[in-house]
Amino acid sequence: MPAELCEACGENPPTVHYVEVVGGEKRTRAVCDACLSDKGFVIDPGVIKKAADHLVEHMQDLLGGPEIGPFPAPSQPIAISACAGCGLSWDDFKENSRFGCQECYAHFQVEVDGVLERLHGATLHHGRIPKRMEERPHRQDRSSDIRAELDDAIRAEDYERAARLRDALRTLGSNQEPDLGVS
Amino acid sequence: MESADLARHAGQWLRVPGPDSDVVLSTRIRLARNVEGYAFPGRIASATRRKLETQLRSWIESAALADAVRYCNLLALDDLTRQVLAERHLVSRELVNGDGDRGVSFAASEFVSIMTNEEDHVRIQVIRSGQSLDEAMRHAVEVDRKLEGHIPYAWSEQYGYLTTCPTNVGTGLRISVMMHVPALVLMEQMDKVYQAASKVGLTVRGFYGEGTKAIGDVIQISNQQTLGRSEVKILETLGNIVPKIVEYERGVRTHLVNEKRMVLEDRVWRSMGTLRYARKLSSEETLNLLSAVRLGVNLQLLPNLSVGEVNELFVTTQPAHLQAQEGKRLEPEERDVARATLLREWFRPESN
Repeated sequence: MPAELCEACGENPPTVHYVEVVGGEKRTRAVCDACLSDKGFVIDPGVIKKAADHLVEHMQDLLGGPEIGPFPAPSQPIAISACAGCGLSWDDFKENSRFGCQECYAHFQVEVDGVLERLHGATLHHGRIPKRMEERPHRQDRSSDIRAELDDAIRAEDYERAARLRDALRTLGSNQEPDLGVS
Repeated sequence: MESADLARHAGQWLRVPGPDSDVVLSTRIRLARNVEGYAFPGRIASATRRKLETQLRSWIESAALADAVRYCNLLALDDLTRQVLAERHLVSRELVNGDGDRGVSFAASEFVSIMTNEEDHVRIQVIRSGQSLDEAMRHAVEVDRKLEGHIPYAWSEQYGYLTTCPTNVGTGLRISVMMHVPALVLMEQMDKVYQAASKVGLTVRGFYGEGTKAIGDVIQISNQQTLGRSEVKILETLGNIVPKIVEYERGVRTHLVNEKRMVLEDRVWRSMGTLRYARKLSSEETLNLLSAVRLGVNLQLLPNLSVGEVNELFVTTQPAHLQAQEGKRLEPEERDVARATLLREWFRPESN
């Protein structure tokens, strides 16, 4: 079988295979770099890096490995409002890594989860509970709440969140109220 | 508060050596807590901060902790006394260098201290001599339980105890074990310790905390992760690794005694010589000399000295302690002279 050649010039071996959808019809194309740029496609290294980073992040989530190395957190394109509790902005936080009040955690939840995942490899508390919180009845429903959230996440194909929730369920499953010799 | 009295001795937790004290100096437990409904100390208005400080003081007093506790507002203490408290690890450098209403409550035994309006509203600390992980943890939880009967802690179902810095959120727990590992340093085995510790998520730091080297062959090993791992798990991680480092250090010491006895004796006795006759000693040099002497005591080379006595000198020769004992401010050079004088007196040949 002859070596596959670029569909456009018929000279070079193809470097890119892509799927083109024209008028509802799918076709797989194979072209070389030169012809790809002639066709107006520019391979933006930034786009490729972003895609690669995204892929790696997913792989790490799925494999449960630590987040390491040169994969920057996805930049936040939408302006984040300041905390309603204390007026701290996300930029203020980034400057000295200190929150202004307890509300900050809920207000910046998405960003907070990213920070906590990096620092602790976790986003869910596991451990002691203040006495007055133990008495709240809905705590027993914790795992079914998480299970429901997990279903949502899977439906929404938010696998990062799903992986986190699955870990949370697992820890919850093995969660014995820590016995530290004090009641 | 009489800082001069305080400065003459180390806290009981260091004076009376605990388990494995040939290698482990102390075990410290810290719990970070905040009060619901108040901005964290870094962002609180000063009038509210004052109100909260008064409130915290009364909450701590009503908690009736078994260890009789006295409370001081840092603003009421002179600078030297604050420095003495920091050198005794009763308060953090951050509390000393901070501003606004803030305080500390501690008992005469100095096992427990509770800081208010530090980086977080409440910082509970328990220190025990030697390897005392379980006991120190039980004690810290007991104090926490008593305080939470009065203080409504800021807590969330998802993130646990909420703290100013995200590195503390969750359990708010930091366990630090201070270890004296001269043989591992001498035989250049510390890299292995660093690696073993980082593999299980622990950090190793020098005597003066983050980023410092192991002056006086003293290291601090502590947990990094506070979220997603329970107090029991964190305790377990430390409980697994500390005895291994202890055994490792002891093994290398035995090796040194068997194979390089003269190197060891020479180092110990040179240090004794310097301590007996030097006229000027810096803090850092003193820590290194005392480290060698401590090793000598543990290897029975210096039968007339005890580990507790050497531990005490680690504390009482620090800059603020020296000045408090002298009852006046001293320039760095005067301090070095005062330190050498104190040590010369202490190590006089006829006394040991």
